[in-house]
Amino acid sequence: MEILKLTIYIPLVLGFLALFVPGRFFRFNGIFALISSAAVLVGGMKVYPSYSFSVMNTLALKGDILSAALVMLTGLFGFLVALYTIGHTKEGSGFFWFLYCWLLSASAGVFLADHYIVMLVSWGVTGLVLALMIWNAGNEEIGKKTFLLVGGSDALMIMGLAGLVLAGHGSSLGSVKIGLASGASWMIFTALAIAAFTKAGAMPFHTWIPDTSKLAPIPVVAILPASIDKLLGIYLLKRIVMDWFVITAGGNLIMMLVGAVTVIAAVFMALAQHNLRRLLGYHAVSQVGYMVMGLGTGTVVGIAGGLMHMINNAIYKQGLFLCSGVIESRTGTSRLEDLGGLFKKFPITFASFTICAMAISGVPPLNGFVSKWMIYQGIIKTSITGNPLWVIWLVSAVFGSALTLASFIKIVHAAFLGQSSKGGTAKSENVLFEVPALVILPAMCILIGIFPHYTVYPLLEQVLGPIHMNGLWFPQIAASFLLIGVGVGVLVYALCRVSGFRYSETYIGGEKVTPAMRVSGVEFYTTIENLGFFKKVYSWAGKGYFDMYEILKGFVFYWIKLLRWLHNGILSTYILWVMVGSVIVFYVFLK
Amino acid sequence: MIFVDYFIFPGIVFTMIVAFIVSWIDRKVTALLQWRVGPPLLQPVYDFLKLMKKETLIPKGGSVTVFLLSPVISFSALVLVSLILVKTNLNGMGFVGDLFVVIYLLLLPSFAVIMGGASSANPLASLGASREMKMVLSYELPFIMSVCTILIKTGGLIDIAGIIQYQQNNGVLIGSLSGFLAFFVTLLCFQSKMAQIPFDIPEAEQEIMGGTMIEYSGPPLGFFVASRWILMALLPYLAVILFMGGIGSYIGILKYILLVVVVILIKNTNPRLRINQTLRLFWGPVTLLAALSVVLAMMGL
Repeated sequence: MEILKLTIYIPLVLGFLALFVPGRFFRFNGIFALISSAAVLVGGMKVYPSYSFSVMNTLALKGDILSAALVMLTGLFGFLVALYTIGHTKEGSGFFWFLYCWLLSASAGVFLADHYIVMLVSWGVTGLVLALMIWNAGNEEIGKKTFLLVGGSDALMIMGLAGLVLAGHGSSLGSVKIGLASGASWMIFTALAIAAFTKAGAMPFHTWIPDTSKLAPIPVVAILPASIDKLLGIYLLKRIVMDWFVITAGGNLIMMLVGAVTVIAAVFMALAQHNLRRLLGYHAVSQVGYMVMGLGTGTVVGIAGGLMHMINNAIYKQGLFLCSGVIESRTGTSRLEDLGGLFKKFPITFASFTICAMAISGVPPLNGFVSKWMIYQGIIKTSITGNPLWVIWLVSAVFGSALTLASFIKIVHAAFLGQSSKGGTAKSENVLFEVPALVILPAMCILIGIFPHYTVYPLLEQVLGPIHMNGLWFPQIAASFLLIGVGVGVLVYALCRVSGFRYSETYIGGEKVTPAMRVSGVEFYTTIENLGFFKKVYSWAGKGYFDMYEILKGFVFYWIKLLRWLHNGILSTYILWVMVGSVIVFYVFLK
Repeated sequence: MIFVDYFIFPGIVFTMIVAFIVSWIDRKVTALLQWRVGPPLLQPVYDFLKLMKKETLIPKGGSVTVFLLSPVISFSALVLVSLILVKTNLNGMGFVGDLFVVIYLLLLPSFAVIMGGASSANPLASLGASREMKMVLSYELPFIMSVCTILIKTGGLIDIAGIIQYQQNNGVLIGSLSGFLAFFVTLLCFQSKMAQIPFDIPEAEQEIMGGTMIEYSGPPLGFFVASRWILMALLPYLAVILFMGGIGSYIGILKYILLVVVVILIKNTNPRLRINQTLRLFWGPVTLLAALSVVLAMMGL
C-alpha cells in the first residue's frame, strides 16, 4: 500500500493541487513536481526486489527488479527535469505541473501494471499528457499530429490487450506466452508492437518525434520523447517479446528489419538537419532502432543489451536535450548556422554535451559502448539460426554508430567550437537549477560505462538469467590505462613547459580571416547530401513521402474528397442514393 | 606488473620504438623510390624530440583545453590498442577487449583529430575536420563488412585470440578467396584510416595547408605526429592479426614489414583523391567488393 501511495497517489494529488496555483508562481509551483518525483523515486526503491498488490482478489500491480529500476529512473528524471524547468521557464500555467505529476504517476502505473485495465489507463494517460503538454504550449499542429499517431497506436494497444485477454488468459498480464502461429495471434502481436514502436519512436511510426523535438518546449521534450517514452515503449516491447508471446523467427526478422531501418534512415536524416533540436529528435528515433534490434535478436545477451540501451539512451538523450535547452534559452536560437564558439560562455554545458555525445556514439569506456557491444554480440549469436541476414543487421548497427558520431561532431563544431557567428549575443551560462541535471546525467554515463558490473548487469541478470558473453571488455582496466596515458601526456606537457604557451593569430597562409570564411558545422556533410542517390532520397523525405502521418492524411483526405463530392446538397443525388440503397437491401432480403 | 607492461613493453616505450622504426621505413622506402638516399635511422627520434622542444602556439578564439587534450587522447587510445593487440598476440589470451573494442578505440584518434581541428578557430582546420569525418564514414562501411567476413569464416568469434587460434588451426584467412577480398578491402580502409595518399585528404598539404594540423606546434603537434606514426605501425599489424594469423615468429615479422612496404608503395604511386571521389569509391566499388567477400564466405569459399 505504501508503494501505491508514493508512486501513484501522491503525484496525482499534488498534481491536482498544482492546477490552482496562479501562472506567475510557476517556478514555486514546481515544488509539487519535485516532491512527486522524489516520492516516485523512493517508491521505486521500495518495489525492489519485488512487489505485488491485489484489489478484490485480482492482481492489479506487480513489479520485479526491472520495474523497480524503471520507476526509480522515472522519479530521478522527473526530479532533474523539474529542477531544470524551474530554472529555465519563468512563466507558465499550473496545468503544466498538473500534467507533469500525472505523467509520473501514469508511468509508474505502466511499469507496475499487471491487470490489463491498469496498463491501458496508465498508458493512455501518458499519451494524453504528451499531447496536452504540447497543446498547452500552443503548438496545435504538432499536438494534433502527436495525438493522432500516439493515440492511434493506443487504440491498437487496446485491441491487442483485448486480444490477449480473449485468448483465454484472464485479466492478468503475467506470463501469457502465446505462440505466433495463427493469423489472430499475429494480429495481436502486430497491434501491440505498433503501440510500442509508436511510443518509443521506431520507423515508420516515428514522425511525431522530430517535429515535437523542434517545436515543443524543452522540458516537455526532455521528459517525454527523450526519456520516459523510450522507457515506456521498450518496456512494452520487452513484455511482448518475453512475457506475452513466444516469438518465432518471423517475428524476430520483422523486429530486426524495423530496428535496422530505423537506425540507418533516422541517422541519415539527422546528418542533414540544420536545426539542433530536430537533429537530436532524429537521433532519439535512431537509438530506438538499437533497442528494437536488441530485443529482436531473441538471445539473452541481445535482449540485455537492448534493455541496457533503453536505460542508457534515456540518460544521455535527456542530457543532450537539456544542454540544447540551455543554448536555446541563452542565445535565442536553435539554428546551427547562428551558433558557434559557445564553449567559452557555456563550459559546463559544453563538457556535459560532449560527454553525452560521446556516450550516444558508443565511444568506450562510456555506457553507450557497453550496450551496443552487447547488442552486437546478440546479433552475431543469431548467425547460428542459419539466416544470413544477420550480416545486414550488424553492418547497419555498427555503421549507424559511426554516422551518429559524425552527427554529433557536426553539432559540437557548429555550436560550441568553430568560430562564433554574429558576435557575442549570448547571455552568460548561469545554470544554477540546470546544473544538477547537466552534471548528474553525464556522470551516470561515465559510471555506468566504467562499472556496468556493479550498476546494470546485476539488474539484467536478475531479469534474464545469467548473460553469457562471447566478447571481452574490462572497462575499469581500459579506463585506467586511458587516464594514465592522458596523465603521461600532461606530464610531458609540463616537462616541455607547454603551460607557457603563446596566443597567436589564426593562420591561413598569410591572408586575413574574414567572417565570410567562417566554416559552420552545417556544411560538413553537404558532400554526402549531394551524392546522387542521397540527393533524391533527401528530397523525397523533405516532401513527406516517408511520413506515415502524411501518407495516412493523404489517404483519408482522398476519401473525404470523394464523399464530399457525393454529399453535394442536391436533393436528386440523395434520392438516387436512397433508391440504390433500397434496391440493394430488397435484393438481399428477398434472395 | 600490468603497469610495467603499460609503460615499457608492450606499452608506451615499445610502441614508440616500433612507430619510429616504421616511420623510418616509410621515409627510406619513399626516398629509394624517388632515387634519394633518405634519412638516417634515428631521424624520427630527432624529429619528435625537436617538436617537444618547440614553442606551443595556441590560436586566439580556440578552446585551449580541447586543443591541448586532443593529441594526448589520441596518443593514449593508440597506446591502449597497441597494448591489447600485442599482449593478445603474445599470450594467446584476450586482454582488456575484443575486436569490437579495438574497432571503437580506433575511432578515438580520428575523433581527437577532428576535435583538435574544430578547436583551432581556423576555417582550414574546420574543413580538414569535416573531411576527416567524411573519410571515417566512407571507410567504416566496407570495413565492417570485411569484419563480417572474418566473423562468418571463424564462426562468430570476436575475441582476437580466438581469431588467431582459428587461423593457426585452419589456415590463414587470406588464403581463401573471400578472405583475400576482405583483406584487400581492409587494406584500402586502413590506407584511408592512416590518412596516407591517396586518402590524405584531411591534411592535404598543398590544398588546405595541413588541415586539422595547421595551428598545431610544439609538443601537441609532436603527440599528433607520433599518433600518426603509431597508427601506421598498428594498422598493418591489425591486418596481419586478422588475416595472416598474427606474428608468431620471424616469418610473421617479415609478413608485417612486407605489408608496411605495400602501404608505402601505394602511397607513393597514387595521386590524392577528392573527398567526394573517396566517398563514391568506398561506398561504391569497395563496398560491393566487401559484399562479394561476405557472399563468398557464406558459400564457404
